Amino acid sequence: MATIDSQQHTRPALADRAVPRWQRYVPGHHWKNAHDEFEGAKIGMWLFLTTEVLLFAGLFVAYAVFRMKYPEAFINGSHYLDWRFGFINTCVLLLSSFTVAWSVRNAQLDERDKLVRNLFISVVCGGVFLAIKFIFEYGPKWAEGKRPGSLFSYPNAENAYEPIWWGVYYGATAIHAAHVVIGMALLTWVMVGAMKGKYGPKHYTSVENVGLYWHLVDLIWIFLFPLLYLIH
Amino acid sequence: MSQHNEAAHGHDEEHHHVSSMFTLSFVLLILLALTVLTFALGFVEAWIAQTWSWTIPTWLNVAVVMSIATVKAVLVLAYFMHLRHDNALNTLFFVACLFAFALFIGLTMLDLGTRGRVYPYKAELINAGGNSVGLTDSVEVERDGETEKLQIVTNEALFDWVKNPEVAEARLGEKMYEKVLGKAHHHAEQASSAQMSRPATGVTAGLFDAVAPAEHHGADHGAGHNDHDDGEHGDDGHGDDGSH
Repeated sequence: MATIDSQQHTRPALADRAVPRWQRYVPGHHWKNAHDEFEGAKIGMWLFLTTEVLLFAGLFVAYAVFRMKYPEAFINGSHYLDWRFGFINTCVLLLSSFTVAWSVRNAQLDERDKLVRNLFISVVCGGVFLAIKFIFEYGPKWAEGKRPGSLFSYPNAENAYEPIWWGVYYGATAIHAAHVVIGMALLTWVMVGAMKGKYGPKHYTSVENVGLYWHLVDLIWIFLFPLLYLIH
Repeated sequence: MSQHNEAAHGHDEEHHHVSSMFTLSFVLLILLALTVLTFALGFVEAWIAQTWSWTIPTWLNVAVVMSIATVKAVLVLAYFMHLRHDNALNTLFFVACLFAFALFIGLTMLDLGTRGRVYPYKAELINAGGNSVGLTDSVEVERDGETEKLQIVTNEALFDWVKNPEVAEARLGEKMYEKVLGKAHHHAEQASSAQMSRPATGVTAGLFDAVAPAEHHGADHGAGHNDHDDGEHGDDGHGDDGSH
């Protein structure tokens, strides 16, 4: 008890290393209790998610407008994509969503090992998604000249508006991929915290909110993938 | 008192919904099954096209595929994102956001999708490069002994009329010139096009009279030089600004 802690009077158990960190968690002083803080943080997260949806709404509307104007280019475009990669990536993201949802349950039930394991699997799934995207999709397509806008140089194009299709394709999937990268970073951060015992039944706000973000990334892909790969 | 409150809220914390393993696994299975289903539908479509030589219309393809995606999204929202057992406010936020999205895409599509219905009866009012109000008309021209009806674009006539009425009359013929003059009488000063911006006029008499509008360069460059690109105009404008 030699520790000098300015907030010792409000956090009596802070120095007690035997007690996990989530049990020692004290909500911000402006909250009535941990439950209110948790609900408040979650409402904020949902508000943020609505702005994310509206960000992608612009891309979906761009897709709809250009598809309406240049249907042939978009039909050709979806035929350029290999459905197998879309299928694998969809399954990978759904699996990661499942493990993230599971990890929230782990935190609620104080299953620290499973929590860390599930978060790790989720991060790996994100990595697999990006690897497939870059190695098997972006790389070869870019090399063939299937590029957006003025960068387009594919010699066998059949429609003059295919550069617009590639613009929508790269725009939508790259912004989505950026969200996957951010999501992976956040999940890693939560995983490290989980290893230190930061999250448990009394306090798992970050697990929940990062989980919500990751589910939204999955949600966007659920719509992007049929629009880009399946409709022809 | 406060201790009592704490205890009550402490009790509240126990009420966070914990998703059962069965629910989570079952939802994952349905999501994967629906994913397989959407792909399978593609093969079924190809098979139908081959066997009965009937191609499924695009709208049906889109409707089915997007419906499956929506079901998947609802499952993720309700069970993985816990909306089903969560504060209803969060659901409200998300639904409001979807409503905004629906307005965004709905009104955009309504506009772009129905322009085909508007164009036919507005055709005579529409000119590439701007619509000089009331300055288009059809003229009859004799060519190889036959009378042809031509739709003339009279942007040039507008500028001629503004700059040099004699040239306009000579170009259009007396009758046509009267017609243009008659129509232009009310509108010519208000007319704007891609080549010429609208001269400033207002309801206050004499407010703009001090500025002579005759020599502004928009008309100089615009008339008869439709090929000029925007960049050149921009450069000119810039040069003008610099000289002032």
